Amino acid sequence: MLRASAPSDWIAADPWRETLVERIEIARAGRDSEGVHGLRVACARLDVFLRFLGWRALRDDLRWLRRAASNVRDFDVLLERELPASFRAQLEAAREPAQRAFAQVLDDERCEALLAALENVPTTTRKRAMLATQRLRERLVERGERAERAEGAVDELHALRRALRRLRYAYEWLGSDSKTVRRLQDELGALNDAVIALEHLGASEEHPDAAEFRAQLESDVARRARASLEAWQDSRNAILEEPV
Amino acid sequence: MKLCIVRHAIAADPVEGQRDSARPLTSAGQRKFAAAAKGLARLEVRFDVVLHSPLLRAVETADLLRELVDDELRVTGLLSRAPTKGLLDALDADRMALVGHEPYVSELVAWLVTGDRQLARAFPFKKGGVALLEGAPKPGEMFLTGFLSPAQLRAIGKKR
Repeated sequence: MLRASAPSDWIAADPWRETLVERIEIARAGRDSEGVHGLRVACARLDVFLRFLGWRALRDDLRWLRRAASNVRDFDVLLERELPASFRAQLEAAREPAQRAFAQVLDDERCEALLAALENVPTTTRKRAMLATQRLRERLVERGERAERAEGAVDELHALRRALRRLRYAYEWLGSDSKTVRRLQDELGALNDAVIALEHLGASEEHPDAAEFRAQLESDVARRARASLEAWQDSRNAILEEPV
Repeated sequence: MKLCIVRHAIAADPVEGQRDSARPLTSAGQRKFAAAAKGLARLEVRFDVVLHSPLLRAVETADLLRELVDDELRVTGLLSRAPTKGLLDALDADRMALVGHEPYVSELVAWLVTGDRQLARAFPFKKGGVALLEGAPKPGEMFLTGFLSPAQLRAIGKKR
C-alpha cells in the first residue's frame, strides 16, 4: 500500500538541479562535450519532475536551455562519424555559431533565474509521481499506436522516442529501470541520429562528394524506421505489464 | 501591445529556516487564483507569453495562468526587483502577462501609465489582483484599461 508519510515516500528535485548547475559550469568552461550532453539529460529529467507536480511553469525554460544545448550536441555527434570532406567542413563551420548561441543562453539572465526558481521547487510524493508515470505510459501507448497507424512515419517515431524518454526518466525518479524501455530508446535514438544527419546534409548540389553517403543515410533511415516500429510492437506489451 | 500585470496570489507566511523565495501559495491562494484565472478567460484574455519572477509564489501563480498561454511561460529575475528599462525591453510580444511582487508591480503600472514610478501608491494591488494595460510599453505611453481585484475576477468567472 502506498503511504506518503515516510521520508522515502517523498521525491525531491535537488539531485538533478545540482547536476544541472554542475553541467552548466562544465559547458560554460567548454571543457567537455559530454557536459553539453549531461546538461540536456538534466533538463529532460527535471522536465519530468515538473510533470509530476502538474506544472507547465519552468518547463518552457528547460526546453529553451535544452534546445540550445542540443543544437551543439547534434554537431558533436555528427562530427564523430566518418563524413565526406565537404559535409564535415560545413558542419565544423556551422558548429561555431551554435556554440556561441549556446554560450549566450548560458549567460542569459533567464538561465540564472531558472536555476534560482528550481531551487524552490517543492518535493512531491511517490504516489503522485506514480500516477503521473502511469499517465506518461498511457501517452506512450497513444504515440506508439499513432506510429503504427502512420506505418512508421519518421515524425511519429520521433514523438514516440520523446514519450519513451519521459517514461524512462519517470521510472528513474521512482528508482526503477526498464531494460525494454532502454533497448527501444536506443533503437529510436539511432534512427534519430540518421534523420538529423540527413537533415544537415541538405540539398545534393551542395555536396557533390556525398552521393554515396546520402544514399547510405537514406537507406539507414528507412531500415531503422522499420526496425524501430517492429521493436515497439515487440516491446509494447512488456512495457504495459511492467509494474510502476 | 496588451499587457496584464499580476501580483502573485496569497502565499504562506514564512516559517523559520525557510527562504522567502521558497514560500508557496496557500491552498486558498491556489484555489482563489485558479478561479480568478477563469475570470480572465471569460474576459477572453489570452497571452502569447507570461513572464514571471523566480520566487515560488510567482511561479505557482504563473502556472495557474497556463491555460491562457499560447506560446510560452518564461522565468525572469527582472520581476523580483524594481522595474528597469531591461524589463521594458523584455516586453517583446503582443499579448503578455507579468507576474511579480509588490511594490514593484505598482511601480511598473505607475511608470507605464503616468511616466512617474513614484506614483506607485495610486495603483495598489491586492494579492492575485490584475492590471490591464494597452499601448506602447514605454514610460507614460500605456493606458490602464482595467484594474481588477481577485474577488472581481472570481465573480466574472462565475457569471452565467
